[in-house]
Amino acid sequence: MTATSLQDISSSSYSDDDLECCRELQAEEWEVLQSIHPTICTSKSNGTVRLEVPVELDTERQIEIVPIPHELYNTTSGPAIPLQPVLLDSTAAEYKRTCNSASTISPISVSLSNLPPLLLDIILSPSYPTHSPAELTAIRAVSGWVPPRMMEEMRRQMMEMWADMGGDAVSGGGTGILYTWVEWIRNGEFLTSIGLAGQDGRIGIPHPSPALLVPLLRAHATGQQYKTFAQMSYPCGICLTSRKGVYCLHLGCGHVFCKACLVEMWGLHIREGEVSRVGCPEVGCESGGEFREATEDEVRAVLSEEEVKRWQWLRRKRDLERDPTTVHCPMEYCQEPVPREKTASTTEDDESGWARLRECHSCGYSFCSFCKRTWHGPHTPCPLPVTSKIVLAYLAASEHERITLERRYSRTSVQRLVRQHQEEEKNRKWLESSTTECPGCALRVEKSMGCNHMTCLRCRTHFCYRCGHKISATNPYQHFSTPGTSCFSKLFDFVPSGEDDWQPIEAFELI
Amino acid sequence: MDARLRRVNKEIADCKNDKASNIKIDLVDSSPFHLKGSFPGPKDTPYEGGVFEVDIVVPESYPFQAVKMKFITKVYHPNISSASGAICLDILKDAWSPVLTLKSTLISLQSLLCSPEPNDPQDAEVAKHYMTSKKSFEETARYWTHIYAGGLGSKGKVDTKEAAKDEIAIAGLEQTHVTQFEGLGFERSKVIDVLRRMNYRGSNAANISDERIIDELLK
Repeated sequence: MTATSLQDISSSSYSDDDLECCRELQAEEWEVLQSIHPTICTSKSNGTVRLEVPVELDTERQIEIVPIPHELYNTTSGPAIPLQPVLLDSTAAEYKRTCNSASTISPISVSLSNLPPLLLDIILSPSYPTHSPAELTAIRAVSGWVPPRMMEEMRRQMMEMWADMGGDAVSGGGTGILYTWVEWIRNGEFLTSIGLAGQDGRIGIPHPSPALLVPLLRAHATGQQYKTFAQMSYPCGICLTSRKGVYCLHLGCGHVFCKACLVEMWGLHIREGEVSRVGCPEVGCESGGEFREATEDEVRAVLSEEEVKRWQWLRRKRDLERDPTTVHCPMEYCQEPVPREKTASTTEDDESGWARLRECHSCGYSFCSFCKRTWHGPHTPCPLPVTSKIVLAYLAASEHERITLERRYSRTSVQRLVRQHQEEEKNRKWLESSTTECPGCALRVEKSMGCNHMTCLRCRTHFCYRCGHKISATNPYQHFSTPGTSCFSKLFDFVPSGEDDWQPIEAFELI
Repeated sequence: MDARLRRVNKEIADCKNDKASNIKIDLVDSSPFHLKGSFPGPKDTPYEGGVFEVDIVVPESYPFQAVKMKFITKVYHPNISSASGAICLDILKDAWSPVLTLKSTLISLQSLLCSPEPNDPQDAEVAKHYMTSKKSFEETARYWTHIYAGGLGSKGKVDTKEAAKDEIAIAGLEQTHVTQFEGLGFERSKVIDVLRRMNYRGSNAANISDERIIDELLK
């Protein structure tokens, strides 16, 4: 029967006043429902209403997907489906006995707070709600998570609800049945009524293929959670503003920050190579006693592909550099960290020349880890640094001797070598005078301000910036308060200038 | 407007609106990135009654890099350099987090004044003083609070006799000890310097012989 024919029949038996009254009541009911649940009311046209009702449980509930045979799932009548979850278990056990593939059809347990929506097609005849009921023409669960037979049971109970509300009486007591239905489904009450949930709150869903249904249920629940997250507002502790969830990232540790701030923070640390600082910005947010670093998914959600690549590279590099056998590829354009190959041969005779061999995975260069030159075999000793010998000889030589050397090795190449040498020398001198090497990992650090107690960013070793010695992590200041040592009372390098000791910090002048 | 400027402006405004915390943040010049913070010394400490000013520099990559802070007001405290005002507080270095603010950092400095940690000293000399005699340390700290962090009146001009006494009190020493060695013909400033370095205070004075001090004075 189509909607129009229904209208024809019903309109003939009621007075115009009655129908006008019904029209008004219907419009009002729809309007109210729409204002309460705008997303549930999908469409209304020509007396046909379509509702999409999601199932939103108060808390996460344990849901067991119990395998049942196809035939049992597809039947729409007969008492064969047990309505209590307790009974579901016995059905499953029986099913397992009759089927051989027990391993593929065992029940699967999931914990969810959202289930896919139910779609309801309802016809509101012109004489609804005073004279005729709302007719449920179709009811269907997205992803088919409710077996057809149970949908039949639902439909039966829903019609009963109409009768209970006094819909059969001429008084028009059935007004508002749509809202009652929606709530009954949305809050999950129907699960108990149709026997999918037991009194103890356990939910059991019979399905022919739990392994197929579970990912669909999970995907829906995650999507739903994200939707809720996206609509809420969260205060971001970095820009100190409130942003909608859709512009925020919910980190695995539970903290929420706006994406724009994380882009800046993580982007900066990745650019500057401080990979250990790419993590949750919250104070004291730790995992396993250490600063909580971001996961790959979190970094991907915020940064560009290029930055993610650099982040991965930095992490790999850091992990490799923790290995003391790691040396850097001597190729100027490459600089990849190259650890020693973990092969059986290196352990059996570490003394052999093979232990010096390194092969760069990035550029393929094979070199000696001692002299950083092209691999010269395990037996040949490292060649003497001929070039530096020439340079030193040249620098020490008199004017006249220099000309001889220039003639022998060509003037331009000698001068190039000298320039290189001088530059290296300058670098070395600067490193020596302006930086201190971490006694833990040999990373060179330059102090910009503050006291002489340093904590290495890379290996977390505590050391003294003045003398470069490792100091106790638990009592680092003892080093500076032991009389008689060279660093006694030298926690701060302070050179009294006499006139005005109380100087503002250097950085002020830069502004 | 860039994010840093937006955030700093917000922080300054938030601080202005929050009367309860007593933390003030003011501009030093026209730049919003060079600021001056101030807070009252905590109650029931030698710093009570003083107002402590802090120089604040907001670095370019703030808030992802720690704010730079140092005391403008001289403070006698084991964890603050008595010479430069530098502070070595973990949150100003590696424990910094972008969720910390100028206000919360200034509050941390204020609570640092409440709880000196002499085992974690920044200024070894002050820490030694604290360890030798807490009472004498507190006297000196109170004196510093009075002359450096007090009201306008205490910063006024003082006559030379007053000034000489000040010098001794600032160093946390006793008048009699200084005059004793001054009487031997040493310069007052040198005596103060040596006695201060040797922590010639309270019960520790008995542990240091006059000869050792004279040796130091002659160096």
